[in-house]
Amino acid sequence: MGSDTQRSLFRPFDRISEFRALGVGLSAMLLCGALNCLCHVRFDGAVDVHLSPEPVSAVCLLAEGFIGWLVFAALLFMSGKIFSSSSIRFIDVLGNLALSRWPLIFVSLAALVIPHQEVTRYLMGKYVPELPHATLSAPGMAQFIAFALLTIIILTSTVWMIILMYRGFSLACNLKGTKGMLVFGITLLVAEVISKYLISVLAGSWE
Amino acid sequence: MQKKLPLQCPSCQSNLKVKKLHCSSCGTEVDGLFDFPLLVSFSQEEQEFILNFVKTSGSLKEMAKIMDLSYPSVRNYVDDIIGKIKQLEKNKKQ
Repeated sequence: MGSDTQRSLFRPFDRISEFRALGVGLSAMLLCGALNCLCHVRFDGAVDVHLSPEPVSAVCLLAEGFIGWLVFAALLFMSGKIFSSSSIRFIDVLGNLALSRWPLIFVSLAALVIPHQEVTRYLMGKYVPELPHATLSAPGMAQFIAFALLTIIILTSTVWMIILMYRGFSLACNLKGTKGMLVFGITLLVAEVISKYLISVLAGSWE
Repeated sequence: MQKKLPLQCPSCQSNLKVKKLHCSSCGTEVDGLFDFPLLVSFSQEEQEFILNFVKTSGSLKEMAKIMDLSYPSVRNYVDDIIGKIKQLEKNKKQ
């Protein structure tokens, strides 16, 4: 892989920032929201990716994605203000974090072509039978293999997104090394809890 | 070939000082012991950056355009240079 390609994939923030990063990131989020309506995938948290056995409304899908992004961006900015000696700006954190979410497009595209609902229902029936839509009828081997492939794509894209998020935060807040990783990791945990709480509280208003 | 100004002693790695200055026009030589200016301690790239930064009236946005880098990348570069200046000043005082 060429160094320019590598840079574009893993260090896009060296060249893209502010409103350009925000524009690209928002476009990716809107595209994912539209695709997720068709493929039943939810990005319901700071870094969450979940498969849903049933269709979810477009409003819900978009709102979940935006809450996860905004809560994490706001908390990273606050952490940066506390721990960084640089004069950091919210637009840099917001834009970089939006741009970091673009690998999720691969999840939406993969879920669109790989059927997963039956395996999802079966796994729910096996491990959490009390959930609605859970079933105990096992799908065929081909569906399990397809599901495994989808899982690999989800894991790879999520790890890629988290790497981008860290690099985007590190650049926007000028926090590197152990200090940067610790601040990012702890903030991610807090953002996960707060975004999950907000999504659960607001769920009634869009469902 | 552009010659690189040596800043450290090749034998013991201590900082070098200027002992002699020469006027290429009249041949006058000044002998003494002078410190290098702070700017000389920076790499060629950093010196060019500092000069361009002054020329753009300290505009990070202009520098980002010139260097084809994002705004926070340039700001972090400036922060690194500030850190280096502080360290050099601290070393000089000791």
